[in-house]
Amino acid sequence: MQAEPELEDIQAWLHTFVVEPGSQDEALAAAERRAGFKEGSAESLILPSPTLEPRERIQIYRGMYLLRMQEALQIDFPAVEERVGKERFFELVGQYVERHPSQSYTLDHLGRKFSAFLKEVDANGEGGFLSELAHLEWALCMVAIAPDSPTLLMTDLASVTPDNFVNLRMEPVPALEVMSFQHDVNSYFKAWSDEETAPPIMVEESHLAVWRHELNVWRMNLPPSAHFFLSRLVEGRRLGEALDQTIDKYQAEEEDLFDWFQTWVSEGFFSTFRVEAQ
Amino acid sequence: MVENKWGLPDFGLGMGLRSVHYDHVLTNKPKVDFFEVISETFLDKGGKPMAILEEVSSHYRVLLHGVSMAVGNTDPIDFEYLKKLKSLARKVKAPFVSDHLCWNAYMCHNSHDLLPIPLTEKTLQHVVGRVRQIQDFLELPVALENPSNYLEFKMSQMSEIEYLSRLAEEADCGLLLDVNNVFVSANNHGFCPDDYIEQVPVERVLYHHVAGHTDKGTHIVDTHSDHVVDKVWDMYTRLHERHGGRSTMVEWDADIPDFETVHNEVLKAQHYRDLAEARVKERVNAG
Repeated sequence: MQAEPELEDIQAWLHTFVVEPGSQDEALAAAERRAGFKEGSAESLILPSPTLEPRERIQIYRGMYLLRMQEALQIDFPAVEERVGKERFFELVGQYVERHPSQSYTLDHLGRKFSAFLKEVDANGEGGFLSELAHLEWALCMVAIAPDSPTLLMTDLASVTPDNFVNLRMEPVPALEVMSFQHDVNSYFKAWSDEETAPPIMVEESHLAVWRHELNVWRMNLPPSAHFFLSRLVEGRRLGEALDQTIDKYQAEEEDLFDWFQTWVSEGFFSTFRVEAQ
Repeated sequence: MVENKWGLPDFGLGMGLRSVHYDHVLTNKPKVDFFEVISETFLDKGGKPMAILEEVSSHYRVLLHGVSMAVGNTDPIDFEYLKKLKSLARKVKAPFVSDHLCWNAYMCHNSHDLLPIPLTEKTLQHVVGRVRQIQDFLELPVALENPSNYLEFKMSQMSEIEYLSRLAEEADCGLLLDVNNVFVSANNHGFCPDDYIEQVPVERVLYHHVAGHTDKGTHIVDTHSDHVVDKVWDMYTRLHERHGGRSTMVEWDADIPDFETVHNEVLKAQHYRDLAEARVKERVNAG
């Protein structure tokens, strides 16, 4: 009498069949190799139904796998999908989940490496534009669901003496992303979301803050100096240090940078601060 | 009338809280007994999802239904997931949490499907052990749902309802009986759904799902995309003849119509509950 297969082997077999790319025969062969089962495994493991053969029955699960992955990434990357077209998008999703299968309890994390993947395969032959568009869409998704946190107000900073302002270290809220692109991705995304004609894609350095304020997700274009300044603050530099570095690098006006700082505080970029002398 | 083992009340007739209905629910605060939410939609999240859940749970009873407990996996139990689930359950004061009799991942690669388990003595002991650990960790009753199945293993040694009954008894957990899933699996496998319903250990049933499905000709798919069919309501009625009122919700997750259409679908359940009660009274009166 043949020994009953272990549950782990059954799972290796069915899982591999479900997620393996290629034809049904190729997937079944891969499943048999992984589980150490002999050829004809579907027939030896699965009962036929009154209307379906064993292979047709396991194929139902296989057919649903990619559809689920496609649906999840369609929700997160609608602009990318529209840019490349549905058919190409689905092809890319198939390749992507083969390389980066879901390892989480939630499909919310599935698209984490999609931007890097698109760059790697130069999916649309546009020198990284598509990857940057995916990077923006992913940031919008993550900012939308980032953990809640208190937000700092300018009045909270009233207790800081003018002398101590340079010693401020700001704690950014979790729902903030500071981004840089080689293309003007935000203009393209805005045109797409407003259903306007997309501007031509130009190689043009651009910078953006994406954040959540009162449950809505916002985007703010940043000039290079403001981006540099904000990035230094977000990485934990003291305000004085971030100001000095920005002024040195961009010959920026201190007053302008303070205006940016006030804007960011009032928009809820920071959750708290501490005064830390050098 | 058979009470459930935990003495949990009948929470009435509820609906799934779905994003297309958020505005309607928050603006109109419709009269609904409870909302069921997909746990994973709200785990570890801030922003709008959590704000909506907090608002809804301040007005309605919220029940948690998940897809990632993975009681049949051979991968280790994901306690990080359970920690988040426990925290969410406390937040919405969930009286129990529900999930499915299935597995979904192998070597940490998640297929996000409800994959079937061979129904053997050996796998039963495996699942019983996991459910006990999960329930102990969550400190809440777990109700496991019979999933819709599209295949049967030759090595299975018992029927699904026998497996579920023993699992519920040996792991001391509850059952979420999805009546549509019984109908779907019965059609796909060729067993009698009425026999299944007769064997349900009703004292373990905490909750019911009903839903619509799609007949593909060669098999039925549990699409949650349509009205509940009459045969499913008939099975639902006979269950209520056996156990009296149990919390019930309609799952409608694809091609979701307006709020009122879905709500009217779950309100139909009241008619079948009344019918069940009348039949029971009739039998009592007839001696």
